[in-house]
Amino acid sequence: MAKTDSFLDQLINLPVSDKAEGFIIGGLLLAFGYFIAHLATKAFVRTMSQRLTAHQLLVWRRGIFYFLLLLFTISSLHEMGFKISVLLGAAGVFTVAIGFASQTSASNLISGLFLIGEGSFVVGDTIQVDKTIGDVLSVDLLSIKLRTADNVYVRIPNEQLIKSVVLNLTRFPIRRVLINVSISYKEDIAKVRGILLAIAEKNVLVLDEPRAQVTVQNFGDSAISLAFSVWTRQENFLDIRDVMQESIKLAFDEHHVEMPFPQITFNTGEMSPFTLQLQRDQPPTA
Amino acid sequence: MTTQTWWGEHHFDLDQTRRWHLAGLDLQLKRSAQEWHIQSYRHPQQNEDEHSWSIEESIENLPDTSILRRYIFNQTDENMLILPALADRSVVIKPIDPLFIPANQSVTLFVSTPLWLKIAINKHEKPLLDIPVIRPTDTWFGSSPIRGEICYATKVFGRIDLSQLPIRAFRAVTPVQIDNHSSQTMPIERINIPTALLPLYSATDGRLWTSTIAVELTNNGRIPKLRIEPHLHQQAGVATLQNAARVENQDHFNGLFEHFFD
Repeated sequence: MAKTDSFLDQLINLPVSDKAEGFIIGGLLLAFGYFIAHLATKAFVRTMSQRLTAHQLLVWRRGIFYFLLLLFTISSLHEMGFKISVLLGAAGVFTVAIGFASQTSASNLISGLFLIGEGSFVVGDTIQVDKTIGDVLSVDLLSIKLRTADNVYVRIPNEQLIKSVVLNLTRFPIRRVLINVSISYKEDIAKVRGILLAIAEKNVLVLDEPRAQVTVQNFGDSAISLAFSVWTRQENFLDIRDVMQESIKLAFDEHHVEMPFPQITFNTGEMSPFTLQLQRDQPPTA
Repeated sequence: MTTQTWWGEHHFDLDQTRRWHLAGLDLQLKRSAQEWHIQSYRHPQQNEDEHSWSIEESIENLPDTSILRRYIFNQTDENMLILPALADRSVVIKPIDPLFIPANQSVTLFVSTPLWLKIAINKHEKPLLDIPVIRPTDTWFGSSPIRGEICYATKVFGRIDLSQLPIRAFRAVTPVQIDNHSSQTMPIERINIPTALLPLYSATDGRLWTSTIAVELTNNGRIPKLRIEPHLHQQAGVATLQNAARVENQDHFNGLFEHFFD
């Protein structure tokens, strides 16, 4: 068959058969392509790291790497003597077989594409999935990786993220801190409200606007439940939750506000209450 | 060394210690051959209205909860600069009593914002320390908890007569000139002062001034037009530049003013 030699064929003339030569050149091309794709992504990250967010950088890096690798793979297959159109046709048949065999991976892959497209969270955000809270390290095609506060690396399959509720804790710059406070029935609610709002006003990390609020939640068995809510920058959330509760305890101690323990009143069914008699030891006589 | 102001250039001999009492902030500077020790102590209860200060030679120790920072040099310089500066984020001022400007009226409000303190070797270098004298409360300025920006909050009287505004060592005066050319009364609940874009000047009477902010509300637009005047207010008198604006680039100027008034 009269075949016009490609540029590479003309350049390299190995003392082996044409087929073997094609495989060697194809292999070299693939290795070279991998190296080039690696270098190109590295150069891209280095030049764009200041301009793009960590998430955008991750998506671009993956995109460039796989695109270049795909180009080199196609040309290396071409060098090896495979016909791409035939391969693609075969791939179609294969896809059905592989699709059945690897349903989970395929589902994760598609979920991953949706997750990246949806942009509910990006690399660097703190999210909560079920009971796991952590910073997003990477959003990959099959799974996302989190780092928890205990410095544990958590891998969550994308499929699970698509199905479940994901809380993004750092999406907005400010957050509300809700603290439940129980006070005794004998306390003056207006006085307690004043004490709580004064605590909020004294702390410079508690936002002036939106205002701090104290609302009466319900009348419990042993106490009146109040909801005390203050706003703060999301990075101060944990500190404020801690500091405010300590300040409430101190302020209540200072103003003699009682936070009651669970109490039970016994009733015999009659109108008159029990009569209680205190028995004391007689003081020892000398 | 000036004694009229708490800022300025200060000469330090080797192993000399000097302390600044600035309202609720104690600051102690010590120079040794290769190190500057900057120790700061913030009182637990700070009050925005406090404006007493003193500078003293001292060898006493600050309380244990104070923060000590050590700056290591090849050889320490004899002089240290203490500079007043404006807040590093915008400051939202809230008039204590509600303010309204009826249609076709103009007014200049004199408002004050809290000061920061910078310690630097010289004016051209990055400061060693940049802290608020009295830490203002954080606040959120925006149309909703989703859109807006983090600012500092402070309450002001919103004086229209400068003589009524007391001279306070730790606050800078910003004149806000408001022209209401619209046919509606303009309520002023909050004003966002972009302190990071304003230069700071000191006047001979001891006051610190910033450039004037001019606000104009016309019938055409709902959003007021704003600009920072290049000249100081005439009542400032002779003034010296103490600190240039923190942000020189005013490209995002309009974006910043999107909600100047709430």
